[in-house]
Amino acid sequence: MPILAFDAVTKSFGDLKALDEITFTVKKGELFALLGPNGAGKTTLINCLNGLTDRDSGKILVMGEDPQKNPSFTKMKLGIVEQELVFDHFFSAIEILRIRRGLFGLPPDEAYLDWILEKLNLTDKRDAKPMGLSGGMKRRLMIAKALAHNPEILILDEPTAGVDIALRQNLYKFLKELQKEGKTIILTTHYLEEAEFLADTICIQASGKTLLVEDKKNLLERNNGKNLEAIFLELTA
Amino acid sequence: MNLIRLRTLIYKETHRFLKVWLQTLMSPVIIAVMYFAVFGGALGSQIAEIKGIPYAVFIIPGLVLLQSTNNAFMNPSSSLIISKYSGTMSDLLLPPITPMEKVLGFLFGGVVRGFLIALLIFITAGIFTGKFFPEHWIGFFVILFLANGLFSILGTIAGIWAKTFDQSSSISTFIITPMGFLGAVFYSLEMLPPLAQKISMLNPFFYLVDGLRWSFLGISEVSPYLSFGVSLGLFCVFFAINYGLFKTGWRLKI
Repeated sequence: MPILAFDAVTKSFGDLKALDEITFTVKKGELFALLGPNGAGKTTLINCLNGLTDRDSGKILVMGEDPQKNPSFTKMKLGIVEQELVFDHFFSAIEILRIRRGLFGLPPDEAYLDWILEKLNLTDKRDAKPMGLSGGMKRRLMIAKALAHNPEILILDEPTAGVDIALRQNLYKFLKELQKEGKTIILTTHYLEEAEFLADTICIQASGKTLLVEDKKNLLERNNGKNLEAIFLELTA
Repeated sequence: MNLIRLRTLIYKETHRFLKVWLQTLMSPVIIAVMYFAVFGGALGSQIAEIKGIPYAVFIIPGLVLLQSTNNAFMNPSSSLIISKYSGTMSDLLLPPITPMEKVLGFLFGGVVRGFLIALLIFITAGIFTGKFFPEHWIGFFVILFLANGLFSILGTIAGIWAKTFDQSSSISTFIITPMGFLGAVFYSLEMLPPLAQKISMLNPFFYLVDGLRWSFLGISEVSPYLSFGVSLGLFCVFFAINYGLFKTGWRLKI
């Protein structure tokens, strides 16, 4: 059974069809890259998955459960790193993580939260308020926030925007580590070389439609040495 | 009901205002003291007693409610509208918080703020008047809870409804504040002409003030049962509305 399944998912905002019969599945433990130009419907799809938006039709299953019918189950399984850098500025980094974990109904676990901060190079910013953090640090704190309840599926919406190369490499290493631990990771990104380096499966979306879902190795082999960027441009042009 | 989730939401809603306590707690207390000094001190000398109670003491319950309920209203409304603006609404929508936990979390956030302000104003007023303790302890805490709880719920509904800071503050400016001032805070109904008395009795705030006045001073304009009944009724109705709004996700979902 796939860990995530989308079947003919449709969502419109007025006349705009943001999602047009999106269908694909994600296997447990894979790193799945969801790619597409701006306005492709990636964020809308993530919002349908986490219950921020209600789909118009189609079916979504998270570990066999529908997020609209059993949200308390599916929400526990999902950790979402949103695209916008959003924090409650009244609280420090560690307080933000404690609150996030508590809002998921889990008891405090300082050792786990400190481990996340360490892995994301934020230990020395443990007690800093978000306003005192750089863009890259805020981005990493967003990832830490999504991991605070130790979800099985981590969804990262543009996680490396504004993060410098060294820290980006660090983040890749951390994502691979999480994947080795058995977490399923869905990544949306505009950095195609990032998707090419990290992903097991590539999904390309444009104008609300799925254009391609394929194993990365197969995709690159089938296209005779073309890199992902060239394939992406060909498909979305 | 998950108690960790509820406790965390209450923690979040209370610590946010405690971190800026000068603005959120001391400011309303100072305003109340100013009212007390002007109305109780200067004007009070012109009005001997109302129902056998010195005027400066008579206005204490109303002044307390004016400030505490206004802040109980602002706590959830500003929290929700800031969340809408800053994008942190997802903090409320991504975790599996149930509608009941959301209602109670915001309710208690506002109630704690309202209670702290009420307590500080009662103590400050007591220093000036010598009247520290209520006549009916249970009624005192019940009506304080119902009043601050009701306004906290109204603030939550306003925060859910409002799309802008302007909309949110307009409810406070055009509905909550006038309702408070015209709720027999500074006067007794006996001092009004008959028509104004009838109009005042249509104001829900009047019953909150009268209920608190009965429990604190032992005097009232209408039966305390009526005051407590109206307060409880309004509390239950708006509690149910608030629950329904969180259940549907109206104006919160994208």
